[in-house]
Amino acid sequence: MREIITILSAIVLGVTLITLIFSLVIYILFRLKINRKENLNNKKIKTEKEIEEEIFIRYQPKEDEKN
Amino acid sequence: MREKKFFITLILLIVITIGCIYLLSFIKEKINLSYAHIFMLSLTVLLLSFFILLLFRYLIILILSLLAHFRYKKELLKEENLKTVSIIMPVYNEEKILGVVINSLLNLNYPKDKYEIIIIDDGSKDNSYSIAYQFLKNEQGIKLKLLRQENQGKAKALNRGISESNGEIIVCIDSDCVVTKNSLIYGVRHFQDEKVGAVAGNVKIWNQDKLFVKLQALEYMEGLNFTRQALSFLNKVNIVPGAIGFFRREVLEKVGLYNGNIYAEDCDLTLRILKAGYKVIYEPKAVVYTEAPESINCLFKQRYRWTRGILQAAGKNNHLLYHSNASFSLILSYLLLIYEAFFWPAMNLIAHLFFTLLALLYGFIPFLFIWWLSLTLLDFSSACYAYVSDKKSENNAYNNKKIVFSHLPFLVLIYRLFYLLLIDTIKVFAFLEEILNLEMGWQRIKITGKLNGYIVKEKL
Repeated sequence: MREIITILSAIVLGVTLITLIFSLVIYILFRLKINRKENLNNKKIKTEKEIEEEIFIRYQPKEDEKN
Repeated sequence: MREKKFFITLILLIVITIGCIYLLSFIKEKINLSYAHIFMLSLTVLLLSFFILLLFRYLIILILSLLAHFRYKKELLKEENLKTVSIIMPVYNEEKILGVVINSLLNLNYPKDKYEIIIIDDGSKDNSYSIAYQFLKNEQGIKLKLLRQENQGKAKALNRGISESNGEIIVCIDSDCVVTKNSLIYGVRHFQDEKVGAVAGNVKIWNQDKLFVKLQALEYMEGLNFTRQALSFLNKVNIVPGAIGFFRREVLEKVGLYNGNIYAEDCDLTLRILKAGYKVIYEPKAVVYTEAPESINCLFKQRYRWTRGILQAAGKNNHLLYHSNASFSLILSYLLLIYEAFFWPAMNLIAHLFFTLLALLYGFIPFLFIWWLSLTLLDFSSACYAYVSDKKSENNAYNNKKIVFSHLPFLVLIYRLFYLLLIDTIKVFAFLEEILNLEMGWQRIKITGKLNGYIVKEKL
């Protein structure tokens, strides 16, 4: 009986360890993916802003035009 | 305000830490034990008390669920007493399944002149709009409105649909959920009671052909619907699921519509309805079939969003605890929400880590086994009860590969050993990220649309 419990306990321990490590890996991958997406979005927003600024600068009236 | 809260929490944490250090040194002086032993002892006591709390939780849920089962009324309303209904369905890129879902809505067992369907295309990039367009002139002669807008999110789409509707009862459904024929007639009958503000439907999974999905079906049955049934006895169901929820129009006008800033907008709305003093109940025969994630990655995304959303909603509505309408049952329902979303998963994870460490460092393997075995037995008993009580609402037309009773022991074994540990880990990480206020997106889940080939023929 004691041996059976030990064997079962060892199985539970093994599966628990594997599941915990597996969950951690999945979480890290998940986080990395979100961060990558976030960076891409930020870059996109930044580029759009830069283009807007560039357009704004390009169409600034010159001194003689103002007059 | 936020900084003030942060500083109060920080001061409290410092006080608690100092208190614990003082208590430790006091115990160390009185009893001749090392710090490591005291730490182990206190953690064991903590885990034991949590286990007792869990036992209570199971017992209370079981008793309440039994009481709800006995109180359940089977009578349906006569046709002339049925209220007018508006079904609101926001759609975003659902071309694979949309046709089946709209068909299920057009064939409901409800007077045709007493319900309307409002579909809001939330800026889909696929053929969803044109698919929905084909149903505008339907054979059944049911009023169907199709609205289109730029992508603004589910909450805003739902709110637009509600503002364009006319029914006394608003039914919000997800566009990946197939509604069974009698769902409406069963859900709407509860609104005869003027104090009922909302009714939660029964969400089931149809794609149960993989073991991984069967485990989710077991969780829906034993975890989510079982708890809802129990809370229904107290008239305090804490989440009316987005998949199928019935709301009284006046109540929505009073408490406000969906909040787009919260990821669990359904939970937030339910808490507001409860706070306003209305009854929120569960109808097991208002069934929808939804597609569950088939991969671990998709499941991770879904549960991560749910947990963070629930925590956001609970945090936003925490004043409900000291509100003048706060009864004991309302507080119990609110605390259960937080307990299920964070406390129990955290405790289960800590217990597993603690017992694993004990096993690896000191060779005390049986502790982990006993912990796991006792929880598995609890799960098995509640799964058996949930299976029997939920069986009547099962519909073979959508679900020909459902869980068989003889498979339950095997399923529960894997459920506790692998599945719940995975889910609990997700919940704990989601909680930590919510505390740290890390960025998150909506995390959309892929739909396979296999249901098209599954449906046999639903019996009337």
